[in-house]
Amino acid sequence: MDATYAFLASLVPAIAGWPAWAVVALCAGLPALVLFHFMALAPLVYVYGERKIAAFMQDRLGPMRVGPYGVLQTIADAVKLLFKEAIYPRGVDRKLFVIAPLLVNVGAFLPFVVIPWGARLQPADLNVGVFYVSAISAISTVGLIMAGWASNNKYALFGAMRSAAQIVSYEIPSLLIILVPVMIVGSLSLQDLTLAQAGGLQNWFLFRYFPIMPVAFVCFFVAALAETNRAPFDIPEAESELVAGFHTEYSGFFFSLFFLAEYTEMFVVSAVTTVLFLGGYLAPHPTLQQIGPLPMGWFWLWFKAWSLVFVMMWLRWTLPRVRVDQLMYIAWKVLLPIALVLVVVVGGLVLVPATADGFPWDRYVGWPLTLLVVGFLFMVMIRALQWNRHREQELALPGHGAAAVGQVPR
Amino acid sequence: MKQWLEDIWEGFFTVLVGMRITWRHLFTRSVTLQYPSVKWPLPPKSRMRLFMKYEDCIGCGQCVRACPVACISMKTEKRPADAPPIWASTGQPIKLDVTAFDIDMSLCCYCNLCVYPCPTFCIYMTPEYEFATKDLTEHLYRFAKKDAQFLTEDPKSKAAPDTPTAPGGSPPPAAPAPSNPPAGPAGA
Amino acid sequence: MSAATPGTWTSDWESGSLDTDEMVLNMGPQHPATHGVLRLELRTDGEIVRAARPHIGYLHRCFEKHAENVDYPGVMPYADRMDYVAAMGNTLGFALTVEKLMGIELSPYVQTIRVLMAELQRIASHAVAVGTYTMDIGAFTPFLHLLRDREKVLDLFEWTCGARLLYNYNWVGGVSHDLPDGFVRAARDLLREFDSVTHPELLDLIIHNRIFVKRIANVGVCPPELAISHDLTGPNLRGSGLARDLRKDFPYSGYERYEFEVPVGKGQYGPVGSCFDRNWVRVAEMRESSKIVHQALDRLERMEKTDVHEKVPKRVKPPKGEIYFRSEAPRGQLGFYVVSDGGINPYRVKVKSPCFTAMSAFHHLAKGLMIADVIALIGSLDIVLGEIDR
Repeated sequence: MDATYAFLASLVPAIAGWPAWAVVALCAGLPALVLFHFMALAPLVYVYGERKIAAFMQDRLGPMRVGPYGVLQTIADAVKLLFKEAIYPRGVDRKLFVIAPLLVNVGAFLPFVVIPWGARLQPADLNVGVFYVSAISAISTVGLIMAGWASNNKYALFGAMRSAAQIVSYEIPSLLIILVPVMIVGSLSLQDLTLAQAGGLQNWFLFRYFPIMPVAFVCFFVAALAETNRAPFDIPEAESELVAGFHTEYSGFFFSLFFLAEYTEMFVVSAVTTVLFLGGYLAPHPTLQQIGPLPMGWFWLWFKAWSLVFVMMWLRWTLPRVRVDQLMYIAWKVLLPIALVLVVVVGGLVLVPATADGFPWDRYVGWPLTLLVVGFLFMVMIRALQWNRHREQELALPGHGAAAVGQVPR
Repeated sequence: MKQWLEDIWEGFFTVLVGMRITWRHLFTRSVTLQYPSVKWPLPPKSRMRLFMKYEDCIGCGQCVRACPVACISMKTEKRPADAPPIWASTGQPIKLDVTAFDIDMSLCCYCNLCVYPCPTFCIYMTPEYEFATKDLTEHLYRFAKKDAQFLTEDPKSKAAPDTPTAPGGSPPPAAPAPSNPPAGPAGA
Repeated sequence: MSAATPGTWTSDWESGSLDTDEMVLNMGPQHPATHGVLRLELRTDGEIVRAARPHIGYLHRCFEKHAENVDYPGVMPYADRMDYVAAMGNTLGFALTVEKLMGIELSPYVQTIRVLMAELQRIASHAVAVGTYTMDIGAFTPFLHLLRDREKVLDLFEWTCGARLLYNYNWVGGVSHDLPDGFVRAARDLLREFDSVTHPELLDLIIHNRIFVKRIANVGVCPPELAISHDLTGPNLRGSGLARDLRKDFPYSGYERYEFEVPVGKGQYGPVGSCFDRNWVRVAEMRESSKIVHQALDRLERMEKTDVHEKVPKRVKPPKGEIYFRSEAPRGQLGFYVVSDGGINPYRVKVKSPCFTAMSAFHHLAKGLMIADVIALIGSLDIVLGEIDR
């Protein structure tokens, strides 16, 4: 709140003279409002982003008609879903049917309470922050089962059971891997976890105990992906599988609630991952943390979390679905042993005073690795663009947006 | 144990390889043609809507017989003996009055079989494909016209002996009224 | 277990043995994964399938009856519409059958064009098969990449004969249109991009992807004896390890002059004859077809052109007699049995459809699978209901 006050006061000095309640309302209320709007309206942007990213990866254009370049498409879809009739199939348990999507949303939105957007920009700095996040996300599971049960549809129930089994199975390696940064820091609070990574890119937990923490990062990311029912683990939602998902019987507004919950959970999980491994709201270099009077913490958390959301979308459109028993295999026989080994190894390393702060070469890993990954992605991008241009020149085609080879000369 | 490790490594690696491909495709140009604003020019041989030039039809009925789905129906009458002789633009004389020539496009299967037997090349498929209608009966095209302008002069006789006559379908050059009655079909 | 005899309902099944634990699941005619209107009745015990019965006939359009009422050239559009995904193969089969009956010999130029079109069609058809299969398994992207290339093949077809899907191209005695100028160059461009970009990307993105492999490599294993006894042909048979290809064993239309290999399932990731092997055969066949097309294009450039309508009879009136001729369609061995009574309409046309015989093996392949694997199995058999039901 004081940061906002300082910022606003530098813009409009007259604020200093306002009554206390007005100042509090403005300086505390404004960030809260911004945050609330962000988390409620962000799924609109995610859905649009997902459709556009999917389209570009598949060499097509995606939504283009509703609004310039289709930006209003999600709003149109949301309005359509709102106007659709909310059908209650015969025999459903009305109360549970309605409460189920609400519960799933509660489990998706509540973790926002502890996500730190800045040093003091955090609704509540609970000292059990990480634990709270895991516990609250589990409420969604209850909502899921409720949805399957209330649907009065044995296939929906199957789907809900499988989905619940999936989430619960992946909670365990996810929690174990959460323990790893917690052990390094010694605190469950998300704020403490972030502050322990201060000082620049090389201090982020991703690059400590290299190469142990990257393995932890990947495993946690996979577990998080499975918890959000996202591809390649999206058996419950799969349209082409025989057994329909838990949300089969839902239509209209309730359906949109489930999707809202899914995309929000994607962001929440990405945000938690960035706090744990990627330095939360910290900038890669301390000089970028504050640009003039404007603190940039929120930008960095937002940027990193959205990059992870992008990676989730990227994976969805690349990979096929994993079968249910293979999903369980991955959770129990791959991720769980790795997580256990990680906990033991890192726990041991932390206790030994020589390696309490990481391996000696950790300092030299952060920047080169990041630059390597960024450079590689850049190279592939430039190559792709060059290939396109080369192709068009070779065929001397007039470009009208469809550079299809085989657009035969007349 | 070795199998387990190999599985994990393979799984991880092939995922990365696949991700590289989709990342690359993120930047390749899309091949979508945004239809109503950009239309693909169809090749002239495209088999879309059928067209028939009534003035060239000699009423032979070959297209009716060739059509596998019986979408063409035709009624002809012998021309009365005192009617002026008329010709198709390819030179065949028209001996029959085609009183009705209907093509039901909703039955047409776009197979192109009616085009080949036509001796005067009067029926052909055009590249026009945007002819959807709200009423199915509008797909019945009636080509017989009451006020058709037939050629009253044999087009082959007007051509000089050393210039070749233009083959089917092309409109005849504008000609002055003949001063002497035409000499009849100038030979095949 | 018979497929679609009238009056077969679940009460037909040995009702005494229907335990209370088992349930009958209907993968109804409308289902995104059954590649057409196919109804699968599955008797399952929890998640495992104990028996499967396919019900077909939802797309029956009386092709064989229609063929008795139109003349031979008029049968061609109907033949196109049987296996609508690979229309060139159908008309080629019928044209070859009637030509054999009439004793027509075609010029090498027309034969080369026919081979060219058939192999391009094979690439397009396998693109649909592999693309929709990967989409059923959950990867949405390869489908669109393959369809993008299929669109280019269809553009070539449209340029040549005017239609994109149902061409009526192969006629009795020739083909309907000659190749336009510039066709060879455009076809080479298409193939160059396919060979160098699309095909390797397909392999990298999905075919060797561990998740995909794990999903289908142990599913739906068809031992060679089962394949032979149920008359599986085409990629389904070759996936079980048997190198039988009509283009090599009983060549027609000049195939003996082309150099290509017959891919077989090798069991790279699991037992031979799994869904992965059948899919793999299709992927490899796309490559082989591209080789054949290259050779055909080379030949076309050097060959002298003849009129493509030269041997087309004015009236197709085969002598009285009957003949059975088979060709290698993208889905397997497509056979036409034509009985002629000397008139202009055929007396009887009977089609041996490869997908129909593949459905006969379905019950044996589906027994013991999990429900999610049934979808993997159907896709790997590459069925098109238009051909099964005719």
